[in-house]
Amino acid sequence: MSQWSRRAFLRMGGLTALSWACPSGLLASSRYKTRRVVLVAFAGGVRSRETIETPRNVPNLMRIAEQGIVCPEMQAENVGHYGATLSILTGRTEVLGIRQNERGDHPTLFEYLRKQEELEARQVWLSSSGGVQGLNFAYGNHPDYGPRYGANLISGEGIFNAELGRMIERFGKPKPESKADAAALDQLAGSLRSFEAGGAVANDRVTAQRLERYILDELSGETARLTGPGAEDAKTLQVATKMLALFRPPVLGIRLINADVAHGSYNNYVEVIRRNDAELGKLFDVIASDPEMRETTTLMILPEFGRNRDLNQRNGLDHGDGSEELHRVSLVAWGPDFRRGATLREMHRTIDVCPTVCELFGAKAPLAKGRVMRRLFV
Amino acid sequence: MSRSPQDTTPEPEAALDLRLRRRLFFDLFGRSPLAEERRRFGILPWDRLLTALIGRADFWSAWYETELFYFLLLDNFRPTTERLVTLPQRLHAGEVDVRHAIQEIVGSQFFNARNPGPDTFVSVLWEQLLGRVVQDDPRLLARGKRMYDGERLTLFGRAGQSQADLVRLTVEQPEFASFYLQRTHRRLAGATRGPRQAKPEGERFAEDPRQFKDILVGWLNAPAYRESTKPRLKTDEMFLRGLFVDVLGRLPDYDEVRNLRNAIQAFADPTPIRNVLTRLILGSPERSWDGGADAEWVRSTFDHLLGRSPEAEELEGFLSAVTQRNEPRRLVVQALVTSREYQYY
Repeated sequence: MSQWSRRAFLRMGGLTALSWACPSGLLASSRYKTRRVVLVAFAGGVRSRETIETPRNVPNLMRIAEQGIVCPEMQAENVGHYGATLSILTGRTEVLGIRQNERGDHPTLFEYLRKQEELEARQVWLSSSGGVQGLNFAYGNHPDYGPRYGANLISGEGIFNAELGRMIERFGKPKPESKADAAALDQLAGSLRSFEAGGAVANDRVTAQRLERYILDELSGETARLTGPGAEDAKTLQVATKMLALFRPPVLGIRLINADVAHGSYNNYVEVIRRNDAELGKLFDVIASDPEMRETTTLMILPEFGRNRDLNQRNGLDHGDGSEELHRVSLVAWGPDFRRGATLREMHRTIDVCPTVCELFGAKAPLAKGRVMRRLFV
Repeated sequence: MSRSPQDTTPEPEAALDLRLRRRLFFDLFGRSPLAEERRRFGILPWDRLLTALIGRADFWSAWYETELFYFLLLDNFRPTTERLVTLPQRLHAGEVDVRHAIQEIVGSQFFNARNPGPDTFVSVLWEQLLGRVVQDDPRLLARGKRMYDGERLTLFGRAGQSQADLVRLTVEQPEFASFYLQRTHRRLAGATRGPRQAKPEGERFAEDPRQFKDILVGWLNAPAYRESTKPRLKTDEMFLRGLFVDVLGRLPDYDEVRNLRNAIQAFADPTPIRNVLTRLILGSPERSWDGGADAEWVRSTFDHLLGRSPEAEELEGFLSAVTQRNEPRRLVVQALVTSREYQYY
């Protein structure tokens, strides 16, 4: 386990975090050993040719694969980043525009699990790259689900960056609330009439205050100083690792995107893959070195789709040639309920991931079109 | 202020409360009104208020920012050329219309850089301008990509041979007019238009895009807009711009919006980061919170920040805080701008 995370975990109130992590609902009686799922959309369009077919690019992914199971025949239908990533989360092929900044119509696995498992917002997290569009992954527009069952989404690039640092310099870093001020604010807030309007994911007051403290602590921290190709994804993975330490959530999604630099540069694309692999290794080490997490955590990693077979005129790789390299990707899965050291050659689909994750919790994804990948299981 | 749908008698102007006028500012300018605007526009009849606000130059600045956000031309992709930067002024002067302005935006190097390569460019162009599912017609998509690459061919029944032609042919499609109006109406009124209303409006706009302002005034004059009392969640930019206006009494500059916007959009539950940013701005030396507070100050602060007067219990609670416990004004403002109600308009 890396030094920061053990310290951070203790500093952030490990016992409280542990008590928050206790499963409720169906999970407590699930027939599987899994009590936590970390799902990594290693996205941005990543071919198997640069990952599991070139192990030197991804030593950490290979390390996970050797202890888990690899499915190199995952079919991706949609080849727009937004719709394709959402398809992984909803379990059905989502036809959404590449730059469409609206939510999908179907529930995500976060919503299925929060609703059926009676999970609190603090127990379901998504750490996402990809700017404003990324917020839409937290929940969809389905009337039976939506924001009250959405994931707690955090975008590291949005919050921990030089621009915000400049604003802090201009206005001055906000000081933590004094006890007297906090009490006065509570009293004033208590005088206000109740107001219910819905429309956003809402944390309980204690969680919101912990997040405020985390934001203030981290504003000048290491994450804010990451730069270079893939820095956004690196922040996303670091924030995810911290959320894992802070809340030990039963569900943690991670969405990466920087591999899409491939449009303009093949070399930068490979560099991003290597950097993401290094951060993924740190996340895996945190899980594997924690006795409780090691025995109860499932990790699933896959891109949303691959890339074209041939380089474009800029020595980059687009995504739209309809080739097998574009539509066929690899899933690496590791956890207490999965086979170890195996390769599953059967064809599956990226939309099978959502119902498979739900199955691990003893839940269903009734609107998903994918199927549970039973051959993954021991 | 809610009225029965059967009640067709004209609504007294006095009944058009502060909240509706405040909402109009959020919908047109993405922020609450400045103090001077509250004074000037609070007394105008509704139809004159609409004409006055839509006739302002900053109406087009807000329109431009909304469109850049829609096309996700943000940060490194934000247009910097003189021609695009002056688009709001040219719209205000009537030198270009809305359709032409959108053609300029999507025909720019910035939209091209945001959507690199023929696959992405053509897909995004038709998804965002026509609302099409491009996968439904792969042959048309292939033809669009060939025109993007410079091949001379016919698309939508008309000839072209370049990326610029592709954009022009797209905005000239009747679908462009109806799709643009629908997304604009949805943003303003929270719902799409029924086909009976949308069709003639789309035809009107397609024939003469300068009709856009009249169409907009018609929407904002309609009972559906004026009588809707359902609170709507402020977008992150609305929250941010409104906070600057409400707390500092001024508009944020571009750097402030850009640098804070990304932070505020970083959470599905916006409350924690909004609270942090609120404390950041409340702590600014730009604004002093000295001075005593009385019932009138509490009432006007409620009006100013929430667009309503305090209820009796609220007034009592806040008054006892400022008069008996001597809580500073800053905390009163903080309590209101960190309230759940303040997240809505």
